[in-house]
Amino acid sequence: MTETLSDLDWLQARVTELIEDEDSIDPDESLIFYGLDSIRVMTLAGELKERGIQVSFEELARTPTLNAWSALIRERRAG
Amino acid sequence: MTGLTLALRQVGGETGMPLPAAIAAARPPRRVEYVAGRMAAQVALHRLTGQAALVGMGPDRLPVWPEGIIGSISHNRQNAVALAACARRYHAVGVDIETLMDAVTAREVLPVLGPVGAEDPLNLTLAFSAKESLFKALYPHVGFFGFEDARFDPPCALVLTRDLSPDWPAGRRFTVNCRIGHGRVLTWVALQARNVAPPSTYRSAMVICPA
Repeated sequence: MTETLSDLDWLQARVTELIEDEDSIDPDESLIFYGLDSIRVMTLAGELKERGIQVSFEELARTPTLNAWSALIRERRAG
Repeated sequence: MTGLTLALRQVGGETGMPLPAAIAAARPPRRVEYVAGRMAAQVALHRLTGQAALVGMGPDRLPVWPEGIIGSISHNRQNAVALAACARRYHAVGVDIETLMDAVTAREVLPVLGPVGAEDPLNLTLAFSAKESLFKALYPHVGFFGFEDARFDPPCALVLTRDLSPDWPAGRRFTVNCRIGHGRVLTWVALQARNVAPPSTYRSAMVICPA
């Protein structure tokens, strides 16, 4: 559980870094709208894999919001 | 190509362009990208039709083109590109611009792209961009599909690896247009209208394009 929590903290921090934004991110707003482009989404999929979380680029791209990605990560960690 | 135009604009600087509320509230980098994209769209439209027209934003955040026109917009951090086409001649178009990947990013995207031929950053960027362009062209017709559903066929084509719809079966090959240079890769897919029904999101009336 603590592992999951740190994954989500990491996700939030990494996404904030990737979109180069200091403001808070609306967790239900599309991250593409914040300027996150598809190459960065793909990079993030690779980084999640390195953390042992199997999430594909397509899964991330389908609903690119922090809430949807957090749910995906929780699901993979639980599975 | 008749009935199709492309326009490229640099990202940077605000104009007096009226902005949708969601964009006006967005952070400055997003605003300037939006403005550059819409300005590129206006230039492409003007070249195509000889008339000035605005490209709006729909509730789904996708661009809203004038009747009889289909189009696509893309940007990286430096440039925005727009493609506009007459709906009577083209039924699906998609454009994509990517900054040339560095070696680290290229290594990261390689597993997802599938077989691409040469594995240098330029070829990987090209394969990635081509798949983005095809996705943007076909998404209004077939809905979401993945990177693995099309195989990159060098030098610059894509082949479907599964049936996306009766119109687009596995094995269907798409020529992808590309321009390479200035540290970027620009690709576009433009499918000429045949006997494929227009997507429901496009209006069919022809008011602007010359015959």
